[in-house]
Amino acid sequence: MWQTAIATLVRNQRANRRAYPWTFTLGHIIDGAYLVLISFFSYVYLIQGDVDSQFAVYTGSNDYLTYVIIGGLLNIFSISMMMNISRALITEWREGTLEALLLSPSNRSGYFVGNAIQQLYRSGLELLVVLSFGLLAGLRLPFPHLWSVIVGGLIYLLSCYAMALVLGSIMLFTRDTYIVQNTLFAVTALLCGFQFPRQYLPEMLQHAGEIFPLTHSLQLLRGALLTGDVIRLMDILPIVLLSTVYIAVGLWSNRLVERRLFERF
Amino acid sequence: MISRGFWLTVRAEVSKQHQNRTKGRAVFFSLLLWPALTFLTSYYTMLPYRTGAGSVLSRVIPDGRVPLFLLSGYLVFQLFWTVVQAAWLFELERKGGTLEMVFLSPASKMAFLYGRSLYSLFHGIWMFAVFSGLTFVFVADISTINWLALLPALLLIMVSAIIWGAALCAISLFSRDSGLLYYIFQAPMELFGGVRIPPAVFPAWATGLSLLFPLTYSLILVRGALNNHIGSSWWWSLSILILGNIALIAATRYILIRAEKHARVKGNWTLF
Repeated sequence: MWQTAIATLVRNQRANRRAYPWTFTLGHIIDGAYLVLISFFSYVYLIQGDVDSQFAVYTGSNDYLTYVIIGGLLNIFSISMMMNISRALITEWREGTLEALLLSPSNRSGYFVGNAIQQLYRSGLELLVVLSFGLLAGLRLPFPHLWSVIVGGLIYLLSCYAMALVLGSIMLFTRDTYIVQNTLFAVTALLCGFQFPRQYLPEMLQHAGEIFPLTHSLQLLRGALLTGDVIRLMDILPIVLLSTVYIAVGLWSNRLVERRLFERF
Repeated sequence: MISRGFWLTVRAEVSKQHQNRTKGRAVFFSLLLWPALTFLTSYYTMLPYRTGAGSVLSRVIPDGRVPLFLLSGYLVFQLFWTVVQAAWLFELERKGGTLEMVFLSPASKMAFLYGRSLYSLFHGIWMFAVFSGLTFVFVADISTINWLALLPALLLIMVSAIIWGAALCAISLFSRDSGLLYYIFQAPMELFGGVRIPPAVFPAWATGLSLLFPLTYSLILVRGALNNHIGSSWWWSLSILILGNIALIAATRYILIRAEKHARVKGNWTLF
């Protein structure tokens, strides 16, 4: 598996450097900066810090600005990660290399992991740029529980990866990236609670949000960063289970779609 | 003043676009579902702000009018955004090789750009307009609406959007990578145009930026008419918008001529 992962990583790295303009990266940075800026403008100019008392009850913190900026950062990061992992196979198809990939004996999990790791540094770069905007705008992190932040970060990555696999198979099935990805991101922005505590949503939508592993991993990671919450094993267990289900479904449906892919046309 | 040939080209371009772009599925998502979801997300993002008597928010947006404020914001934003999308899709015309056909034909190129923009607007807006219309009925207090101001304002805004879209199309004649338009205009236009935050509360530098977008003036017109606050700033926006439109038409013409010259010098056999 690791051989395939490393080979994919190196290849993607080269392809990205040589053949692709950085429009997506630039776009994500602009989107991230926008999310930070609009939070800042809303808080400082529109409401001048006048936040509802219920907010602190829901989040355990009074620091609205840090709360939304972390949400904005993680939103951009998850979009960037999910988009690039899920688009891997359909990009192969568009470039004409999918057949070669399917014929080779390479390990499929290795392929996706390689994609994810290669993507990590690009998303990380975007995250750093947007983070610096966030720090300028007033992001203040209290001293967090380091171990919890690491665990939270890993779990967050895992849920992005799991969702991306399922998303990728839908893309490959419909042969469309634009509609599928943007619909998912519009839905996660509403349901996962990146910009506001989910308790403000109607109960039905709160429950609907639970189907994404991203929802709870976001809350864990933001809790660890914002209020220094300690993450326990029992907290991460449901997310790991849900992510495993997603990964299993994703791998299975990818195989199913791949098999029919060349027969349909 | 405008010749018969102009309208003929506009009609031809509209019908060409119609045959080209009637893809039901894509339209439903990008023109109804996404704007509706974004509107809901923005609404819930504003819920943690304190409202009610004495709150800072109620000084800027009257109490209980947040949904109406956001909805009018997104509706007008969507008007301008659909034409930006049309400019963004303009590169397909180059890739398909149809652009040089249009350029070789005796059709008026201005008419070509305006026809394109006109079609995108109506094709792009009707679903979200219906959605907004229905939501207005549920959330808005119809008694305060100044219809006499609202209807002409909406008409003017639609004309402005068409002119703005044609200008962007003309700009994208210079480059193959019009994907950049998408990134420059979506987020900044939403923020500085005042879709979610009224520009009145902005600091000076941001107000300066917001004055660049016709969206800003359009929103002042629509919100003024909805709340029946028609003061001097409303009349100012109206005149700036009209003058801006005239200037933008002239600019489109100028850019078009420059772009054609540029293509003659820098273009190859297939023009671009």
